[in-house]
Amino acid sequence: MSKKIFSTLLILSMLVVCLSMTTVAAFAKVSNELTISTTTSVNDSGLLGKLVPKFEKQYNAKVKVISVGTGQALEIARRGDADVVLVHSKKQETKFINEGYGTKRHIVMCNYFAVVGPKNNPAHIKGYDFSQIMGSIAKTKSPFISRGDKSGTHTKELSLWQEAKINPKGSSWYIEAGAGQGVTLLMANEKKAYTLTDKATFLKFQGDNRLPNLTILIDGGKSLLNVYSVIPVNPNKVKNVNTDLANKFTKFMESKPVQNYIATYGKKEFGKPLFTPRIHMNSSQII
Amino acid sequence: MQDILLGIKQACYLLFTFDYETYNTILLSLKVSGIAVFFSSLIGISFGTFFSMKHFPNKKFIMYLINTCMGLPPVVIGLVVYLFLSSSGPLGSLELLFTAKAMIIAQTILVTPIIAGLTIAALNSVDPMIALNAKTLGADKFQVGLTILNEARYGVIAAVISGFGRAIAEVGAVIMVGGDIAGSTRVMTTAIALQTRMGQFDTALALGIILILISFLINLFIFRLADRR
Repeated sequence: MSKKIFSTLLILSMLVVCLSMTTVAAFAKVSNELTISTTTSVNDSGLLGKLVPKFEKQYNAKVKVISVGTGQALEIARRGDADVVLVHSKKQETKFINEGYGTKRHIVMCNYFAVVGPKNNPAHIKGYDFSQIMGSIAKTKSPFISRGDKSGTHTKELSLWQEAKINPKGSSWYIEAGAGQGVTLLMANEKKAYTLTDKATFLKFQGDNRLPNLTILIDGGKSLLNVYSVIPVNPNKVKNVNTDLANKFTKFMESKPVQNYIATYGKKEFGKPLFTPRIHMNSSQII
Repeated sequence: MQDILLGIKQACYLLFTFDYETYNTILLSLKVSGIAVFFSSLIGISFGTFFSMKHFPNKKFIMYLINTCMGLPPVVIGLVVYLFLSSSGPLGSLELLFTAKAMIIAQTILVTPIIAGLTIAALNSVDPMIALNAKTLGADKFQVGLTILNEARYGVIAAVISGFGRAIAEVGAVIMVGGDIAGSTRVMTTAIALQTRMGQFDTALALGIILILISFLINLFIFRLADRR
């Protein structure tokens, strides 16, 4: 290879560098771009996939949906990398707002978690008294899989242990998975263990015959209420957020047509809708 | 096993019906990893050549550093690059987060040490007589460098292929800085992770099979190209 060819290659590559860099420079936040950070359980239900295009069309905006665990979703928002969050963990949301990162908690929909476990139910859990339920699991040392990842589901699970005044951490039967909901369910199936889950993921995996050892044991009840809210990031604390579009998205999610859409979403695939929109929630659910 | 057969069936289906989303994802994977490997090769091969030719103190120590960097966990690189590109980070004003460019940056950081390290190893195994002969024939430093590079070309090509393999198969870095956004930052590996999480194992396997196929074809192509010299 001669010097000539090498120099040509060098100049060519510098051209490539320049070309790719020309589109990097940005002088102002693109005003019609909205970044939503949300949780995997919301995104994987497919609901946002249906709603976002409607929003984009209505407001002539471009939307980026980042779907991670609740903890990460809120952390991303704290750093100004998202304009609005859609999560389901009141405890973490309240902290988020109290720290000044969020403006207001706008409840948009809810559903219920379920406790699933082995068909023979060795801990004989039933009813809705969670001190009793968690207590039975602990007493019989029945294996329990925890998400262990600061997700909305994990936060709810921890609150159930708290309700029962039990600290399971470190116990041999308490397994902290650090995994997504699907993998956690597969693990529970393998170990014939109890776990907390959202119904949509469970029904999906069960429908594919991947959870032959598991069944829904506790379904519903106040303690298992799962509330989803939209929180715009606070522009007074976080720089460079698109407050205008964040507020528009909040209004969009609370609007009648969207709320009505949420009311029927999932009915076709699962027989029952996956969420209850705010307009149909009763006062005991709006917490 | 039945799941794997279903995966193969789904792979054929996605490929032969020219499924838009699948092809988009494949193209993006190739673009991100391809461009990253291009820059990594530029930096890595030049640095590797310069490094192996020159003599300076602490050379061994720097070699240990390069070798360590070859094994940098992608998820850690992803997190660090995220912190830099974050809106509240030092490079936040560039607005690169959650774009393909951020993914290219992260993968370039991941792959450059690999290509540099393997290039140095390839060059070190070249008979020192080659360099000496070139010098006696009147070659300047630059030409000597090219000569030994040419001599070690198979090793260098292997270095690039290694780098590409690492890039196209990793998920930790791209998911952190890219965000796995449908249509703009979803690549093969993040798509597979998503399908797995959603329980759609046949699609996850299908994408995995397609990814392996593509890696195989690219390796084949590069080696055929090298052999023709």
